[in-house]
Amino acid sequence: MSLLSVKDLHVSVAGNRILNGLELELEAGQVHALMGPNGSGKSTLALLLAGHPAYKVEKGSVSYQGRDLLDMAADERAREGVFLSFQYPVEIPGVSTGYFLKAAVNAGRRHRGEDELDAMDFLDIAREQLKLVGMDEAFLHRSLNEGFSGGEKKRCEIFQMAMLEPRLAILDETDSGLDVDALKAVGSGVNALRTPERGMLIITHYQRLLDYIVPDRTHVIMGGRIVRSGDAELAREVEQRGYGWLEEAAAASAA
Amino acid sequence: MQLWRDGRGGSEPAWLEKLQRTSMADLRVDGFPGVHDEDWKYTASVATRALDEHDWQPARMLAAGEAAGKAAAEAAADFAAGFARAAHERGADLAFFVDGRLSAELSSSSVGGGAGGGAQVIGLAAALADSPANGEHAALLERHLGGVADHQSAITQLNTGLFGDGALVLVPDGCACERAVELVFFSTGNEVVAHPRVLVVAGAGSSLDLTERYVGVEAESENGGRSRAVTNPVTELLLERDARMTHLRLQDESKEVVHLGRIEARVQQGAEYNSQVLVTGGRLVRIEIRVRLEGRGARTVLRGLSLVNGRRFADFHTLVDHVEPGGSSNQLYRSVLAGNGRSVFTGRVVVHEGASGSNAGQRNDALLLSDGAHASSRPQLEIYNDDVSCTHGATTGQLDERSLFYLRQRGLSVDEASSLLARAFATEALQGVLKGELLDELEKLVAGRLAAGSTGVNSYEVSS
Repeated sequence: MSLLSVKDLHVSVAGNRILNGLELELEAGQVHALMGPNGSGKSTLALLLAGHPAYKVEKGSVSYQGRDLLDMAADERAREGVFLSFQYPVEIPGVSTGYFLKAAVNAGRRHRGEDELDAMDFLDIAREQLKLVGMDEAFLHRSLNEGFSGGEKKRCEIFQMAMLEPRLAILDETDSGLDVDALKAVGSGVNALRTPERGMLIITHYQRLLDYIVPDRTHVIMGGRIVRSGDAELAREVEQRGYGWLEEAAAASAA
Repeated sequence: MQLWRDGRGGSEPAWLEKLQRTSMADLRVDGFPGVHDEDWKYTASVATRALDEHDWQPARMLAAGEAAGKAAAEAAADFAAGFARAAHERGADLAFFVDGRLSAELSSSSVGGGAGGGAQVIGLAAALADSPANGEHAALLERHLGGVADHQSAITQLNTGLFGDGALVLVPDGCACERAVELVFFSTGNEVVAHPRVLVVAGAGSSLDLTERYVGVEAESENGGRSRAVTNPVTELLLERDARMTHLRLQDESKEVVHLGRIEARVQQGAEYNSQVLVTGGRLVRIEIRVRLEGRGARTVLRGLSLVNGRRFADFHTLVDHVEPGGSSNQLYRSVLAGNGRSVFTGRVVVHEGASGSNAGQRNDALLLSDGAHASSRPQLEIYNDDVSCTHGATTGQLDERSLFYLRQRGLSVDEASSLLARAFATEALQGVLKGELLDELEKLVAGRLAAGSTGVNSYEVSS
């Protein structure tokens, strides 16, 4: 059984059809890259899987660990192990990163019937995981994402992922706006979180993050559906040749 | 309306009788404001209805224990004991009032005594009764009591006409008072009207932390209905040259109390008055704050927060006068509304002719957690000078959907996420005036009231 199984998915937002019969299978322990040009539906898929209320499923199904994912509210999906690293993490003044994350970790633990972490235990674990992305403990006391640089925001997303230990992690353009150091930190953080139980879907416009995180599979999305799948080599090919040749190939196969 | 003067008994100075008589005459001539008065249109009907209740007892007629009834008196004693312990641990001078009357046994022993190097706290009734024998206090009271306040305010007229007790706080020149002054006004809620009056004279170069807490317990009235009460406090603050004051007014009375209060501050040259108001209780609360920056370079920071649920109502009314050059004022008032809660903010800033180089900022935000909640905002700037910097802004909105989704994506329920965001919004209006333990205490109080729980943030409990 796949960790995530997307079948014939058609999705619209504000009346516009964005996804048109998308198919995707992701096994536990695998890292898949999803590449595509702007407007191809990459972020729509990410937000839909996370349960964003703006997206409407017209047709198709999404099953997660054998359950109907579309039947679950956003917060239930999260507690069940679905994590989205946001393309644009929201700045939330007045809510400290540490306080928020402890609440989030404990929401998951309660859901799984585990004891909640107290402040000391939380801090011990947080200190370890902060090292993973090269962040300072002071971040825990800062308001969530407020005034963070682009790189800090993305590191903070990966730090949260490490703390929440999801089964399915979706990274939506985590590489956008990162300098090389941040890219390396994010890449090594993600690699450290590759486990046999965890599946990851890495959404990106460019191949450069894939220099650090080598995917098991690569998919190219165009016009709201997967037009080609391959191994890590496909990402490099896209980088060299752009998307145009795939568009032509897709048009030819559709004709 | 039938109004009882909260008398003190015994002989009183002639100026005081005249002051009180004149004030009541003003109120009778002007009448208590009605719904046609623009400044009172949201507040008037409930306020006058509350004051019209003719069977309410004046607190002063009876000793605290009798007025309150046995159960309420015991509750007051328990409550006071807790406060007194905490105040003692904090190293504060505590004056405890029950239904507007000073209780010597529930107050710190320092109250009524000598200055002892810090601020001197004296019961107002005692100070007035003593006055023939105590020339210093008499002259001071005659000069300043009613001298800071604006007698056009109906709240002040009512209080000036009827006050019986309260506190006189004297801060010697240059005193960097380490011990805070805490005034606690406990309402038994047993159909009483209290008009406490506070006068603080902060001497030149002094600094003082002052807290006023209006608190109470939920009590059954004798006829078995919900207990009700009116609290009508007026606090006059005079900050002499280069004085600094941090002032908290906490209104956390039971949810049947009508609270009509006023704070008046005169801030002289180089002095700094910083005020935090927090409204978490009461059925109808109107708090008026007037700050007169009457000396060169006088400064004020004003913060206010109200949490309004059920059918409750909270009204902040501020007026800042920039009279002399180089003054600065910075206001932030916020309200969090749930149920059918309602809030009003009226903020007026007047920069007078000659007050060049003034800097005035004012901001008011309301967060609506339910469809039934409503907030009104009326900022008013009057500027009679070119060389000034004034900003103001007002927002009314709901929780940010993007923030809610972000928090839910991390596993927080709608309820938990809403609570977290509401607390973050509220807590910002607690920054800038208080710090340390007092700030922690208020943040905890607010967090508790806005906590996610079985009732949900949309109907958060206001307990007392």
